[in-house]
Amino acid sequence: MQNLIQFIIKYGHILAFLLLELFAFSLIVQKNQNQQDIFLYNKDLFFGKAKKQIQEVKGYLSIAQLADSLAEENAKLRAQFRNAKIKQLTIEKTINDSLWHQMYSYIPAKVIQNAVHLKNNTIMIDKGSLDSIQSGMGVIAEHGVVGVVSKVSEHFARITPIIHRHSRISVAIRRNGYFGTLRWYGPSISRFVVEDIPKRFGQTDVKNGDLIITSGYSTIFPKGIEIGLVSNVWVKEGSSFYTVELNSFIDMATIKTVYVVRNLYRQEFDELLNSP
Amino acid sequence: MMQKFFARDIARFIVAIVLQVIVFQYIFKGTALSPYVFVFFYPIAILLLPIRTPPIVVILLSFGLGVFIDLYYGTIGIHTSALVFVGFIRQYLLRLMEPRKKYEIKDIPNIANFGVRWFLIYTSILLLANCFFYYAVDAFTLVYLLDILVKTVLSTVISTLFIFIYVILYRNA
Repeated sequence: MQNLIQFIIKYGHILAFLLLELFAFSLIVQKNQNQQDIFLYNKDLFFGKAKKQIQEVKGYLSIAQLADSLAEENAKLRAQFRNAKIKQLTIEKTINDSLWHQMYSYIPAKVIQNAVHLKNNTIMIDKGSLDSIQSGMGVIAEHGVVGVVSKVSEHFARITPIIHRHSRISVAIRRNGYFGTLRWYGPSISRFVVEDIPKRFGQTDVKNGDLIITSGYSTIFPKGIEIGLVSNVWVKEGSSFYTVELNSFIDMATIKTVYVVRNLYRQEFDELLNSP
Repeated sequence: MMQKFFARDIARFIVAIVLQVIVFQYIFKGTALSPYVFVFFYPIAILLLPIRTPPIVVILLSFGLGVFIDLYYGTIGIHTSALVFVGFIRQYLLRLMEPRKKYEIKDIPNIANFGVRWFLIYTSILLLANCFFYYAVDAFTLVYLLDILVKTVLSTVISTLFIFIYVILYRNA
């Protein structure tokens, strides 16, 4: 109590000043037309701005969710592509009455670890065996092939990317369908080499600017995913194969969302391949 | 003794209101200066309150006088807010301007006690605050800042002049 009285004696005039000014201003904006108009206008302006800013912040907060749902939708759309389906011509009396059957489905995933500066790089993603990912599945992204799943735990998967010394992807030249193997020897993460395209007599099989796509022969990737453009072609002395240099579309250093390719016919395919 | 001072303060309030209403509001009426100059005479009642008046009393008196003036001019709250501000900063200004010989209990901040120079500085600073506050609140926006400043300076100079003349004429005011 003593303190309170002392406080009022010491600071009472400031309190009185503030209260009276507040009172005076409330009178001003209530009783004077001009000031009232200006006050209301500014109030609307201020609260309108504040509201807009709150809305913007809310938008940012939900952006992660939005990105996830977009990735989900992308995967669904990719599954609609022709190259994700298999044609079944031998239609007997079955309940399946459509010509095209789903062959590939896509599982969206986020890159949680990525290295691009090593000789043998690895990528980690945030989906694992619980999301039905198995080793040996292909991984693609918006601008091309990323790599192949090499090891899987329950919640994560390790990918051997195309910028790995042991990575081999079956690719083809779109113009004429000649196929070879995509290899990487570093150090640039956008320069790749296609080997094993046989040299044919008297023909220009490969030209600068040719589009390289996945061949679809490996059943890991669907056919026709664009990888890059040919930038240089030569034949090693004494060799009967072209060595093709290409610049990839994908930038491995910036990938964030990837899609794991799931071949729905893989088990059948493997059984047949490995049968005696 | 105390009563005499008290009565004089009350009288000063009445004189301030009466002179403001019947003399000073008409001085520039109809001239080219009238949109720019408003003679603020009534703050004299607050300016000349005894120095040892408790700050809270000064503020409350300012509020009362301001409400009175506002009711007369129909500018509810505008004079009040400006005058309350003057009442609030008065004590700080007095503390800043305290001469070497210190204030005495009964001192009134006028010419007889502190001289012409001191009084002019004291009056013009408080009136400047009053005028600026008044015109700023009157416009209620700083868009017309130049306009506000012109009015503030002119009104301050002329109001100070009139208050000075009044204090010279009535040395005991």
